[in-house]
Amino acid sequence: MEDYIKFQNITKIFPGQRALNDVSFHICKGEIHALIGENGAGKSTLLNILHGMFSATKGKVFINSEEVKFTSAFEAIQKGIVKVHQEINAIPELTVAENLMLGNEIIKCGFILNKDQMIKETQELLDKLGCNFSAKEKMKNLSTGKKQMVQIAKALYINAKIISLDEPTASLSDGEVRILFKIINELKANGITILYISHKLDEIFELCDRATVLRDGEYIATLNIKQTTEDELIRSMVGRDVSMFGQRIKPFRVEKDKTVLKIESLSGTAGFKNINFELKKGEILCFFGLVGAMRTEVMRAIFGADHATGGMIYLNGNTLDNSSPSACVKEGIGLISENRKEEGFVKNLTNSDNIALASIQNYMNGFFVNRRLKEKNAVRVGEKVKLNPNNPDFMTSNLSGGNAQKVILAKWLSTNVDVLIMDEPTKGIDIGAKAEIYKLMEDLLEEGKSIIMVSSELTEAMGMSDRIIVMREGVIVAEFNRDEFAEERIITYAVGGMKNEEVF
Amino acid sequence: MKRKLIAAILVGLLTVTAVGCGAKTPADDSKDKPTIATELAAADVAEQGFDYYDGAMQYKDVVDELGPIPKLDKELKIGYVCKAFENEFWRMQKEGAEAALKPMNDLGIKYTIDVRAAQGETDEQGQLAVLNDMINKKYDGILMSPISEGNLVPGIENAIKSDIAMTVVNDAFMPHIGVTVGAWHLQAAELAAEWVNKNIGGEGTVAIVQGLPKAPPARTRTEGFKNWFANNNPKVEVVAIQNADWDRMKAKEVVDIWMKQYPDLKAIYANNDTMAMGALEAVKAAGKLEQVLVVGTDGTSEARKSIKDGELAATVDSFPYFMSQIGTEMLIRKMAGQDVPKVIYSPQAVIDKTNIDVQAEEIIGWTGFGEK
Amino acid sequence: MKKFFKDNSRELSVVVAIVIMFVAFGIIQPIYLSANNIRDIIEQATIYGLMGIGITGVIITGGIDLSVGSVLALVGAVVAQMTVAGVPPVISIIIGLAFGFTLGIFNGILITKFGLQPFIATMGTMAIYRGLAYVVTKGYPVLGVPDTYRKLVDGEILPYLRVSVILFFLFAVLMYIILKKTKLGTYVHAIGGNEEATRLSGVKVNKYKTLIYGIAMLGTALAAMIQIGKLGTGDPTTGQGYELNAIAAAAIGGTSMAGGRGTVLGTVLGAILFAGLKVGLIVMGVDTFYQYIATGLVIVIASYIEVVQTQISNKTGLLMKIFSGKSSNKSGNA
Repeated sequence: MEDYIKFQNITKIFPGQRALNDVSFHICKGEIHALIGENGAGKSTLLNILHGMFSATKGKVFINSEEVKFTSAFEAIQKGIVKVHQEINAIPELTVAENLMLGNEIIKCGFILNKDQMIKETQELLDKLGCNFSAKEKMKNLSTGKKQMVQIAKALYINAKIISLDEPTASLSDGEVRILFKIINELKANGITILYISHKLDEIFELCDRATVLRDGEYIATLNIKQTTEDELIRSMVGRDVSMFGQRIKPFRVEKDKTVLKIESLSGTAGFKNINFELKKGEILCFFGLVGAMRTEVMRAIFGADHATGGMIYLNGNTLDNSSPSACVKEGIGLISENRKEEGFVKNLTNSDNIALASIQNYMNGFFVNRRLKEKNAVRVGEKVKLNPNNPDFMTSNLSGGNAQKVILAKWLSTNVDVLIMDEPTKGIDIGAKAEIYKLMEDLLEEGKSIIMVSSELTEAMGMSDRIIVMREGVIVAEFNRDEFAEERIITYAVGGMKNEEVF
Repeated sequence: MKRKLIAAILVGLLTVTAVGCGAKTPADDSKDKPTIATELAAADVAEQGFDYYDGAMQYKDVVDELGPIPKLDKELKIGYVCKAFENEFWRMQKEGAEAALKPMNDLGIKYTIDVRAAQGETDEQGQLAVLNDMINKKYDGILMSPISEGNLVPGIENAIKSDIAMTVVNDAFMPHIGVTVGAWHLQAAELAAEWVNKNIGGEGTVAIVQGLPKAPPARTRTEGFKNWFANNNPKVEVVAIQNADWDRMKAKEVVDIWMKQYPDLKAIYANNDTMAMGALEAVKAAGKLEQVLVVGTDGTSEARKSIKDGELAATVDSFPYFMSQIGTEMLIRKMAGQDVPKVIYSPQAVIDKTNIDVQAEEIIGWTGFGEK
Repeated sequence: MKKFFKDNSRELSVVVAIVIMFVAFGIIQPIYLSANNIRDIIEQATIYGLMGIGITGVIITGGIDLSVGSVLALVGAVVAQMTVAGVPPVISIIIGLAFGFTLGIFNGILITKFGLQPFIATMGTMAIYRGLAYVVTKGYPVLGVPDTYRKLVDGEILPYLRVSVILFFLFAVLMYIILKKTKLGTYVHAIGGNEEATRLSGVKVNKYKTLIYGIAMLGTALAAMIQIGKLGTGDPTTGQGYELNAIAAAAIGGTSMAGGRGTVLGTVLGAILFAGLKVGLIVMGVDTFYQYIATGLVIVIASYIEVVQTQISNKTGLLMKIFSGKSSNKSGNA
């Protein structure tokens, strides 16, 4: 089966933009095929066409030499083509078994759910996949990684022939990633064809057989992973040589004697306690840890998004009023949230409005917002963050992940905050945009600001930070200065003494 | 037609229930039949329709036939499940029922009365709760003004089991209950039609603003008004009928349009006074107060004031203050063992500028309970 | 021009619907197109229109206000009582507006400070305000609103032009400016699109949300005062079910019940479509029962057009092509 899935001259036009242009390539049966490219290259659009979410403007899709034209995702699923979503969509109040069987419930006596049977079959499937949680568990109690396992189990349950995974490891811990890879290899051994989207090149080299590279909606190349190098892959993705990214380019400028932010025995309802640290002027301080270490919760408490149950916070020596985010912004602290879509930008606003959201008082003309001033600022800041398209009227929700993140950055650059908290600032962002965000962080330091960065990517943490604080299960377990950075030790602290601990 | 259907369904349901629950043999079945007959004491009224029932009697005739109110052998506890006190009409009913107490007591008829209502005219369950409370507290007799034909049925079935005497006062007709005292909506409509016919000189065009069409009074009044002209004077034409949901603003909006669409309109008949007042505003706004006569229904204080001021032409007053007194009287007569007719029409009269200052007692010839 | 068509495609389709309606009714009943009749349609759009414009602001935040019908009765009754008692009309109106604003703010406080869901909170105040209307009037309509007051809010200052229509227009402009040009307007849209993101941007979400509930109620207060002007009476039973008509006007005009999207112009047009349909059915003498069906169908069809529009513009940008000639080529990564 040389061409099990064949894309032929696929073109997809969205209002105002061409997402895919004449893309043709094929995927072999039973291989793990990576789709790579910067965000906005068209990978997700291509997957959506395969899965019946969109129809192509032009071109055909063949599966097993037969042309397919799905009009809905449901139709595709019935044909055994299943997508494990980037944003996990599960019904939190239902159990694992109910979620897994959603739409395929086992019925007895005509209309009564056969719950015992549903739980039994689900449990068998979960056990086969090596998951150690119960089919009776409510979905909302599961970690992201476990939710993803449920989705994969669901795909198996409905006898999927083709499974695509869109950024499956984005919010998984190392241990979870290992288990996921084991499962993917097992799927492959069972003859299932896998499409794999990821920004993490090491994963692709470890897992995939071949990789198709897309750039700006164009097909670039399909490479055999065993015969290619990381450099070649990056070059074909970004169309240019990328020097080592995730490294500080400019000189360090920490002023060790100037404490900007001081946290004393902070605790919160989420479960973190006794958090003590200081942020120095001109510093990038990284909070490293596994998912669930409560780094995000600590940041939200500092920013006043959640209420802390105890502790003191000082900004430039004075007690910080962090009763609400608005109070914090007034005092000069900003937060870039981990969840861009849910907490970062407003989907129905344009770039200029999103950028103006935290600083609207700067564009007031008496009682009215001066549109000209607002847009002028948006363009100015947009230029600084290399926003593409730098169009104040463009809807932020139509931007790629990387560009949306730049809009959020632009929002904070429009204010005069001294301290910027960046929670996973490069999560799900392509290499090009990543490098630009790193550069912006250094620019901010130059302007005399200080940054707290939460990161789960060790290369990023070690490359960008002046200092790393490691958190585990709600407490600070270690602190490293830049000259003490050592991959092994940091990970060891993060996982609690045992690297690659079984976390499932 | 709909009444007949409802009656038929009710009879059918009760028969099925009776057969299903009690009867095992044909012999038992025949024994049950009289019970059903008692429960559906007024089945033939339902059959014919309350407004068209040929066995109905006017209040005065009932009093003539039954004579003075018999003395009771004990003090009674009477309840009145009223409709909703938001509406002045039902507040008048309440006041009337309470006002009857003293003259009755003076006649040596001892009882107490407790008047309660639902929370708004759509609170069907709330009204049922009031009724059930009165049944649980073992009232001897209950007056009721049901919101709909169905909402009180479960309570009424309980009351029948507990042998509580019941009388319906106005509006929804309940075949379960032997005695209904009410305004004869058909008569109200005909009184209005007659008055309009006389005052517009026997020819021209008229229109009707209807209440919420699901309510029987709205339907009967509209039909009655229209049919009177069809039968008695075809020279008067009903050119438009529109619903305004009993709402003042909606009535005004409808009539605003009519004022332009039918420039020769001579009179507007509204199914209640609130809508009549809205219609009147539209007529005034069009500067046609002299040309278009607006006639309402109910006799609210607002309508009476407007008649006094020379604006509203007339209203058909059904005297709720006396209607509930009559209801109380009939309930007491029934409890005293008298054979009270199934339907008693309470007095109604057209109020216009000629009799607006005359006391209601004089208009309907009310002389109290004593000297009859 | 292109941009105008693109940004206002929803309003344009309502305009098209209104034109179709006028042509259809006009053919069947030529009187429908008379100046008098069209004046009636505009005048009858004022009450639901004013309530709808206010509620549009609330719905954009992702909320809802079910209490507007009761506020219509309460404010109307109170202002009627004041004018009857001899309070000068202008002062009565100012107090009426302030009173309506306060009632709206109370809704807002229940929703923001106490964290109630808007549907539940305003369902509660719907009953509370209705009860208050009965309490202050003891259940009787307030009669005899003086002519000076009535002329002030509903007098005919020019042939075919009533003060109430001007007030409707002015409030529409005011809300347009608030929603489009002020900080509050930006925040209202932002809250409806993503409340958490807005809060984390340092916006005092609770303050602005509460404020929009108050400002929204100004529309209803104005409607209440116009209505007592039109009727000469403050009726505590009025306004039942009006909230649904006001919401329908907003929905027909393209306001999304999910929040984030809606325009004043759309709601004004929605109210006019609504009023035009009602007047048309009355002029044609359509039986009441069928009027319910026709009104319901308009709401359903309008919402469906919305769905189709979204699908079309998502899929192929067809609508844009229709209105703008060709699809523009904004570069951008998606």
